[in-house]
Amino acid sequence: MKSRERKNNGLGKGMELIRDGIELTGKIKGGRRCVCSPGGWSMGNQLGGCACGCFGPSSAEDNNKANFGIANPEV
Amino acid sequence: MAEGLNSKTMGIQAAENSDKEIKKFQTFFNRLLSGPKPLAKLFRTDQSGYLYDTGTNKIIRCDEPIFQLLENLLSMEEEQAVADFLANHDRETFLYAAGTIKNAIETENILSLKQALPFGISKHCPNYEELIDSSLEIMVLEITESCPMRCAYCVYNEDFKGKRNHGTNHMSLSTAYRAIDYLHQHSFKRDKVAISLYGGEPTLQFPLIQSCVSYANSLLKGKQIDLTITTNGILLTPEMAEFFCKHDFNVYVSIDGPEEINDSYRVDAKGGGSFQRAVQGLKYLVDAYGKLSNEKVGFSMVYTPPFSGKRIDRIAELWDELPWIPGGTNLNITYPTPGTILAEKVLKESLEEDKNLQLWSYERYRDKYTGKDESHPIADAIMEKAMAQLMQRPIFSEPLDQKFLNGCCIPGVRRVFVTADGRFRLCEKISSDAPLIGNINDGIDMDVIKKLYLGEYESMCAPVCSRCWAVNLCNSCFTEAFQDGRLDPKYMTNRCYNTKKTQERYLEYYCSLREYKPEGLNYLYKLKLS
Repeated sequence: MKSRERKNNGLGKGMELIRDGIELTGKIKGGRRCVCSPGGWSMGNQLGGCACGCFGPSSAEDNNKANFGIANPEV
Repeated sequence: MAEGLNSKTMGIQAAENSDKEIKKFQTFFNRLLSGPKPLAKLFRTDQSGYLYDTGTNKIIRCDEPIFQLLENLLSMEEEQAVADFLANHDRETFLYAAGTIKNAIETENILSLKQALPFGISKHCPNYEELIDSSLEIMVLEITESCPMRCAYCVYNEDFKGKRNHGTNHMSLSTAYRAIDYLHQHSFKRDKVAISLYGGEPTLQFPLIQSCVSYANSLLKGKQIDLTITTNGILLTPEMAEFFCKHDFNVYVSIDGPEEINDSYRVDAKGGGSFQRAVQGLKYLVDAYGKLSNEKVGFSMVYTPPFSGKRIDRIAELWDELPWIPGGTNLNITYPTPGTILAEKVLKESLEEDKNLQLWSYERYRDKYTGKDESHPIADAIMEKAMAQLMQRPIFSEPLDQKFLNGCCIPGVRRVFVTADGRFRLCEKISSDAPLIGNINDGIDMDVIKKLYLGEYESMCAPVCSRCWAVNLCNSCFTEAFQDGRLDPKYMTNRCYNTKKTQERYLEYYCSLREYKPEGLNYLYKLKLS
C-alpha cells in the first residue's frame, strides 16, 4: 500500500482527511522532529544527513521501507 | 385509535432509542475527552471548517455540524458541549456528527494527545554530547565588529540592550584559524560543513576572508564546504565579487527596497543613504555570477515602518525598477528586531502588521496559484517556505510517545557563532548577554549547555509547550527566550502568542489553496528548507 494513496479510511462523508505531508504508517522507528534544523520538520536540507535522527527524506523512506517494503512514492 | 396509540408508542420508542444513542456518545466523549482537552486546533477557510490534530499532525476537513460539535467538545465540559449542540440542532444531526467524530477518533487516532510529554532535547536525543563532539554543521565567524553603516534598526546600536554596541575589533588571523580548527575537529562525522562570514561588515576585512577560505579548503579537504557571506554590499568591488563567485559563496546583500525606503533606515555613519552603493555592489555580484545569480545571490530585507500594504507594494517594486536583480527563493524578509528603536511600535503593531505582510504575500501567491497574476519574489519567498513546512510535515498514524523542544537546535551542533575575540555563542541571533557556550581555547562548555540551554530552558518551556496545540509547528527557539541575560518565561510566552496566530493563519491559507487546486502545492515537496 502506498502510504499517500490510502483511502479516506472509512471517515464518514462529513470528514475528509487531507492527503498531504509525508505519511509514516505502521510503527514509527526512531524518528523524531529535527532538532538540528530549527523551525520544523525540515526535509532535505540536512548537511550530510541529519545527525539527530529525525525524519529526513531518507529516514522517512527507510521507515516506510522497513514497514511496508516501499519508499515514499512522491517525495 | 389503536393505530394512533401504536404510532405514539413507536414515537416514544424512537425517542428512547435516540436518547440511548445520545447517552452512548456522551459516555464515549466523557471517557475520551474528560480532563485536559486534546491538543488540536479548529480553523476555518471561506469554504469549510478544519481540524488540525497535534498528535498525528493530520488535517481533516469537517462539515459544518461536525465542526460545531468539535468546537463544543474542545471548549466545554462534555455534557455541556452535547446539551449546547442539541439546543441548536436536531437529534438526527447530533447523531450524524457524533458518529462521524467517533469514527474518526477510532480510525485515525486523532484527538488522543493531551500532553506532549516527555518533552525536550535531552529526553529524545540523549546522545547530544556525542553530536556536539562529532557533528558540528555551521561555523559562523564574526569577521569584524566594525561597520560603516548605522542602520536605524541595527541591534548593535547603543540604545539596544540585547547586543554589544558597534565595535572596532577585528577577528585576528589566529582566532579565525583556531575557529576553523574547531570546526574541523568537531565535524568528523559530516561530509558537508558550512562556514558563514558575518559582522559588522565582513568585507571590511577582505584579506582575512581570503585567508580563511584558503585555510578551510586545505584543512577540510575531502568535505564539501558551503560558504556564505552576509554583507551590506556598499564596499563590494569587482575583485571581491569574482572571488566570491570563484569560491561558490552564497551572498546575501542587505537591501530593504527601493531607494527612498532603503535609505530611510539604512544610512551610513554620516546619515547618508546607502542604496546607490549597495546596488552597485549587487551589480558586481550579478555580473560575476551571471546565470547563477538567482541561486547564489540573495537578499536580506527588513520590513520597516510605517507598516502598510501600500508600503509592501512599494518594496515589491524593487524588482520592477531593477529588472536585472535576482528573484528566486534566496530572500529573507523580517521585521526589525523587537527591542531596537522601533520596539514599542513594532511590538504593539506586530500582530496586526504581521498579518499585513503575511496576508499580502498570501494574496499575491494565491493570485499566482489561481492564474490571475504573475509570481512575486517576496510573496514566493514567504509563502513557499511556510507552505512547504506544512506540506513536508510527517503524518503519524498514531501520536508519538515523545515530543520535541519547539524549534530549538541542539546547542553546539547546528551552529557555533564565534565572536571577533574568539568566544562561542549559540548563534548570531541570540542576545549578547545570554551566557556563552565556550571559546576557541577550551571548546564547548558542556556544563552550561546541560544546565542552562537544556535543563533550565526545558523546565521553563515544558509546562507551556507540552500543552500547546502548535508544538509540532512551532519555530520558536532559545533566541526568543533571553531577556537581560536570563531566561524569561514572560518574554517567551509573549512571542508564543504571535507564533500561534501566525501558524493558524498559515493553516488557513494552506487549506484555502488546496481547496482551489488540491495537488497544486505538491511541487513544494521538493523545496529545500533551511
